Amino acid sequence: MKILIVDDFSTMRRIIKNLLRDLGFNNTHEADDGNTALPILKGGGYDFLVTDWNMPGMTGIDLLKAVRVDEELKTMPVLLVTAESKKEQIIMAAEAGVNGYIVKPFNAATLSEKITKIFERIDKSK
Amino acid sequence: MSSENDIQKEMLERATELVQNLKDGNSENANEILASLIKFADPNMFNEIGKITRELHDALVGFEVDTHMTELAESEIPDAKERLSYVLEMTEDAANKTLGAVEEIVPMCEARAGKSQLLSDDWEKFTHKELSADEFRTLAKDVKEYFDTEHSVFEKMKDRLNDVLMAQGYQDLTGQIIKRVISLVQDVETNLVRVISLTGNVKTPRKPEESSKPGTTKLEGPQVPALKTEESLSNQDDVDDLLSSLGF
Repeated sequence: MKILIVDDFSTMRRIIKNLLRDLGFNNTHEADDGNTALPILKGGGYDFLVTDWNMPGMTGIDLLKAVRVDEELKTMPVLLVTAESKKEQIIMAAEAGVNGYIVKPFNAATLSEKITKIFERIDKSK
Repeated sequence: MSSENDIQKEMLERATELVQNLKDGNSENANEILASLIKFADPNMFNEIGKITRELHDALVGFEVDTHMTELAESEIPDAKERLSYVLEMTEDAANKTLGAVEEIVPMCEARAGKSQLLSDDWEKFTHKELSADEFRTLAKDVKEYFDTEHSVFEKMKDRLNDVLMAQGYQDLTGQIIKRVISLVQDVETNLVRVISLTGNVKTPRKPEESSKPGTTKLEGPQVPALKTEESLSNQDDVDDLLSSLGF
């Protein structure tokens, strides 16, 4: 499975990359905001997007919205991993069609649990 | 002096004309004459009115600056102090977690390295047929014990290394908080320059830039425990509850 990790902090990208490798996902790529991520995603071949919310340039929520209106990308599962924890924002993300929402700081177990849930739900709906 | 007399003469003539027009009931002409008389008023008066208007404008702008400065001093600077204290706390916590893990892993590595060296030495002797039957039995026992414990030792080391990995998350979270405080410091600086420009002759600086674009949601960033609001959810469980109430 090919995964794109989007975060403006390279340390966080490395943390997520390492955790995903530990979960058996070795094919991960990185981008530092929505503007750089979107052309990469449109380049094709990605199965899963893990993104931060608050980034300069294009934010994660705008990236999510852009993914949902793109014919090719609209069904791609998206996991938000963010420090934003206001109710209003979580509701906004849900309405924008997010598949999972993790609040930073988080742990390896939470990441694993959310990813498993996302793919279980996708398998059920197939 | 003569020009002043000329002005007075002209004013008197215009005033007489004004009275005459009023007596005749010719109000349109009377108004015209009245307007022309105003120009004889002291030109300084207009300058004064201009000055007062400018001062009033400056005072109003100053009031805006004062209000913003009060807001900065009353809430944003104390908030910034809380945020920076939290940064200190997080960096300390991450450093302690990392050091703790290193302190656990290093002795494990040393013990394993020592043990494998011993086994390797004995194995070397065995291949050169230098071990007695008893010594070989001990070696076989040691090798078994080594393999039995190996797995759990490496699992433990991996767990501790994972702790080190997760502890580095502080850089993202504190980075976001520090960026906010930097923007606050810039805001304070801009406002101080504006205050100085109102009291002195400093060129008025540009207005402080809005931190967020119009129409976008203001992002709160990492949660600082001392600044927690009711709108913020405190942990992943609360987030999961909210999402499941939304049908997730």
